[in-house]
Amino acid sequence: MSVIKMADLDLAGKRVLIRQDLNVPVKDGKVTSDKRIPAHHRTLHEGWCQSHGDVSSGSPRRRRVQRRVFHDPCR
Amino acid sequence: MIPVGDHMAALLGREVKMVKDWVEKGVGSINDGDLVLLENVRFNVGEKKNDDALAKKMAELCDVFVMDAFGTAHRAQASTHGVAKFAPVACAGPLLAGELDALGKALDNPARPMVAIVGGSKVSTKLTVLESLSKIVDQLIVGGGIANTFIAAQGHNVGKSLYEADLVDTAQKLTDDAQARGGDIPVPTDVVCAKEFAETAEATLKNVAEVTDDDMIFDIGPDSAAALADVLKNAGTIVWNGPVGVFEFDQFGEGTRAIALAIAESDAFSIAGGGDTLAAVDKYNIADKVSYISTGGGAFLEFLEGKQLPAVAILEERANNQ
Repeated sequence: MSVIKMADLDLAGKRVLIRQDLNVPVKDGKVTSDKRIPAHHRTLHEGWCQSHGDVSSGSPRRRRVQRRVFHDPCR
Repeated sequence: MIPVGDHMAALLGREVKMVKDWVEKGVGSINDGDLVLLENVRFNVGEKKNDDALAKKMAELCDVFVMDAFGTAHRAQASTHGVAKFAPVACAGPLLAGELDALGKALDNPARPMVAIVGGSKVSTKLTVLESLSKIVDQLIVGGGIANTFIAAQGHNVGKSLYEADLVDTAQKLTDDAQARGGDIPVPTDVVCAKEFAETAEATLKNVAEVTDDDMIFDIGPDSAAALADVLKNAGTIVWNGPVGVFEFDQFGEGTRAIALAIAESDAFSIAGGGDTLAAVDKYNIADKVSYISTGGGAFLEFLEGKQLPAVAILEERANNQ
């Protein structure tokens, strides 16, 4: 069995809800290590490009579910 | 949420709206192109229980739901599973799809011998992983607090080390079973001990049989590390999850460093995953020499066990029933 991939969808004009893992360490109100965030940015960027052909010409409606801001003790 | 939103906005060069009480109040008015960061899903009542009512509210927010959190794909929760049931379209994001492709390819027909290193503090949290992996791999290497329980199972004193007395028999059985299959779960022959858990604690190298009542084992010794490095050098596939010592403190990091360097030098297809493991990969600067780095911890291990990840299962179901 296989899944539908975001890359295969036409996202123009769509409201997109993205579930991400954003549990990054935060100290004094600043993100101290952002290893996860750039990877997730690529997802946003790709979604953006998919709906508009390029990044600069406007953008789709997007939403994201923020995941975990702080270190997740379960992992 | 605010530090993460600020950080994102800076990286993307765009405004990021942040919404706290989005389940009850929705996200307010948004325009084409707006990027909205929603408050931590874990704060929502019903998230962990995969509550349908909560999942429906999430699904109502969107036209397309994109699951891109591989690290939580092993949990059936409202934001990972329930929402995918009810969203008009549910799909895998590039990170999740990339993980599934890479891990699937690597494990479908792994080059042998296959070696897994499972470290971490407790046998109890990784028991099923240990049981499953010991059947799949040719050699299982245990490290950290997990190894202490195996050391105790060999009849050695582990002093005040972290270990689980009630799982000593289980550890013994895992070893016996592995040996019956022609494999092994080796325990360290030498260990690095200290009298306290501290950055300044003095490290003492001991034979594993010489650990005293007031010792705490914090790392494997150089002989053990060399033996493991040999195993890794000859492996066809290496799976690494969990450091073998308290590598945050340099005096207890040599074992983990030796493992990391051996993986880097090995010709094996190597996969590393898990938060602590990735920190070690970073610290010893081997990221570009590991074949594949997974962002998942628990999900990574469950995938290795061959378990169906609930968040992936629902995406497959949705794709099938289109």
